[in-house]
Amino acid sequence: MSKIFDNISLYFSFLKASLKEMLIYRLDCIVGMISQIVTQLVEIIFIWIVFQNTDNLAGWNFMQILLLYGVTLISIGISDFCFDALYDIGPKYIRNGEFDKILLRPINPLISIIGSSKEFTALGYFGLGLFLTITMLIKLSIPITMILILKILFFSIVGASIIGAINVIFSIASFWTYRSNEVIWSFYRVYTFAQYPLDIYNKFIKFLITAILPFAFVAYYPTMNYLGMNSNMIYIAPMIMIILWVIAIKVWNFALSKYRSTGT
Amino acid sequence: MSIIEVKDLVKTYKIVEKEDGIKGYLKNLISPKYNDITAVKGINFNIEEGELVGYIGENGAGKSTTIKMLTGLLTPTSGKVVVNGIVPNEKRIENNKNIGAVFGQKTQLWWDLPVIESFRLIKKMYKIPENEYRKNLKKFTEILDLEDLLEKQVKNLSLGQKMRCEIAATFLHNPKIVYLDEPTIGLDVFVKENIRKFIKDINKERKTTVILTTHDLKDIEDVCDRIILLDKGQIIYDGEKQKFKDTYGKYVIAEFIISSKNKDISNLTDAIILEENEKDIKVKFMHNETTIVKLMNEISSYCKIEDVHIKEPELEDILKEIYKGAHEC
Amino acid sequence: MLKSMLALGKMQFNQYNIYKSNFYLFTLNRIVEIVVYIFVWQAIYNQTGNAGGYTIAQMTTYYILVFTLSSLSCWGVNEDMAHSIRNGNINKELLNPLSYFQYYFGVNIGEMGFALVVGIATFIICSLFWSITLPVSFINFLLFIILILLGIPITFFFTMIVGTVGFYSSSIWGMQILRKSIISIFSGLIAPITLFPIWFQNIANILPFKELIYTPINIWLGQITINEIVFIIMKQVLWIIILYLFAKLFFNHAVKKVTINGG
Repeated sequence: MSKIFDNISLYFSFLKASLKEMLIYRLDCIVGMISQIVTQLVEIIFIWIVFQNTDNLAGWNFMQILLLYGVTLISIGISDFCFDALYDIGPKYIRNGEFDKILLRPINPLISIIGSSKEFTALGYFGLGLFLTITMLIKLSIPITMILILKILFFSIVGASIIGAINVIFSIASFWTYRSNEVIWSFYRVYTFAQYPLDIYNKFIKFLITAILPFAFVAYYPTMNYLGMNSNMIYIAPMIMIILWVIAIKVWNFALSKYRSTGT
Repeated sequence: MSIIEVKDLVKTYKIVEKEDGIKGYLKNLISPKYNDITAVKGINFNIEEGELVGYIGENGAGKSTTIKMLTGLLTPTSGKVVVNGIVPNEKRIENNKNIGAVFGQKTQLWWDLPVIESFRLIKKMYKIPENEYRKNLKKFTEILDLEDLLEKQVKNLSLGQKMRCEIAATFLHNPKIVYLDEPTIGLDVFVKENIRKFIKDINKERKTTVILTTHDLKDIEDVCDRIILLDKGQIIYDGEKQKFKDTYGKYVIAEFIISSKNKDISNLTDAIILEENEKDIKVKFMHNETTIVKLMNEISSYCKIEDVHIKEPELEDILKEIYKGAHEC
Repeated sequence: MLKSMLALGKMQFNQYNIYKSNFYLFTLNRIVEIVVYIFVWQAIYNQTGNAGGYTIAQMTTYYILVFTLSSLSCWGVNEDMAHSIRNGNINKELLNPLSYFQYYFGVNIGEMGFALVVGIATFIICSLFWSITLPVSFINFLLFIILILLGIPITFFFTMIVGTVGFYSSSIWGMQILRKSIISIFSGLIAPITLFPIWFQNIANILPFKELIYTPINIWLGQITINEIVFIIMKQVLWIIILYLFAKLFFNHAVKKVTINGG
């Protein structure tokens, strides 16, 4: 238990260092945030076009879909912010030989790596997500109670953590290819499915994003719950998060030991 | 008990054979072909606490592979490594607490942060007690002359400044064993000497065991007591530095400055001519086979000797000879 | 000159190809996006019996072709340019026997080659899952190809303009995202242009980006008459000249800055 506490405290020391590093690149950071928002606006334009052609998508109206979109962005913002450095393992750490340095530290390498995340541009996602969520809740006249706020807070973190675990699992590709960032990103992109109601998909895709890469638990089921649609699936999300992390850590450590036996 | 024990250590790599062209690309996609390369072929040595060991050999001799296995970065194919009672690749993190490492120019410092911030993070990582941290920081700052560097960003430091900080960072947690892989590469003479002095000082004071691999043999000459020489994955010498010189460096090189040569010498009894021209002649001979006086007598029959320089061979000369010999076989 | 440009292209292509995973991943990414779009339109069609004025088979073909072509217009040499400006390689590139534009056009050829391979693979895989509407006639297919070829210099010069910004600012990354976003919206990548508001369509009609994706696909689907196509081709040629001149002038100005200030 004290080990977990130690690791968390170390994580925050690393995070603090990353924060200071990021402050040096303030301008890049702002430009990055704006670009993040612009790319999201492009997708929102698509949603708008969709609702020029229909008034509901599998029973969801325009504002409900935008709420789902906003809730997703909050989780994505948090997870990009916290787990961005996983993308660097292959192209940066292993390619330049810096990974050895990380392995020589007296702490779990995963903490070192995750701790050095500094994707502050993800705040662009987070901000836009928050804006969409609050606006849509008001427009849909859903009462913003304390319980709802806590729920959104809790399940957004759970959602981000689910994405993080999935990214950790696929980051093991770093041990085979320098271009591992693309591997992680590819599987990460599957979350796109979960930005629309599951009912528009066929059985295979539904199965994929609930059982295999459970992105549906990031925002879709939580949003259904916030909207008062009958969904108790939301309460499974924390369990899924824990299971995923157990798998992720096991898989990661296994891949690391394999990597150390083959060398570069 | 030795602090480092290495027994029958072997490392074999599997390398994918890359083939050219679209055909090769497709072939690789379906069934990649592997080649086995044995980088370390069953080596044995023990290192005692407080030893300063130079681990040397040509590029590709297996030095880095060994160091990677000693630090637990690589799992041995077979054989045994025990460092301070721990098998490094099994209990890597436990082992990491006891060791420090510098790998060439790869820095462990945080690139965008002032040096002191990196030191603080290291303190936190290794759980260095406050008073010990302060003591070390003060001492290292003095010896390595870091005073003006601590508040600077790492990316703004010169190579030499960076390496001095890197060395300080490596020793900050009082490691029992330190692996230094090319710590002086690309540095100027003053920084090199500074770093060598630091290593010797710390070793004397704390009995830190140091394993040094380098291509600059001055480092070894200056710092190490013991040499382990590796060639093609095998140890070809392991012992005291002085003894090494005595065994392999029994010869002497003499340079004669000459004038009015009447004919080419081309042959001397008991000595080998390395270079010869109108103005000087360089020869190599063994202590037990001839003397400088005998040689002078012989040479003076060909020409007039103006001056003589005698040089004991340096580590570098000896190694060159050994490598040359190794390649001729 | 052409030979060395092709050699450069081949190098760039191989660089991508070294990592097998790239090919699979790029293709996989595309398919995920296609699937989302197709299912959304399917849902709309099920609800309203209409998919934005197209039949559902046409709309499916539309998005499959979008992602067959999208890499051709979204990829580019921006990252390579920005990288070389940052690490000083630019000086070496300016000393090349090829002009800077020729050099990067060579690199661009490789990039486009790889984009084409990924695009075609995407197309083939998708054709296993959905029935794709074939081009209405051979002439339409030919015109489809011609428009795509005309698109290559358009994308290239546009990329060079964005890349040249890198001489003035280190935040080229943001510009690149902006470039991709502009192309995504105005090319019809996210949805057929006809579904946008009229004022937007008017702008898109003037800009050359619609002809990178939307127009060729509609030629494939037989939604555009031959007369219109002649006009479109003339418009594209004019845009190639405008973009070329602008890119060249802008670049010359930027290079002066490098050679005077030493980067």
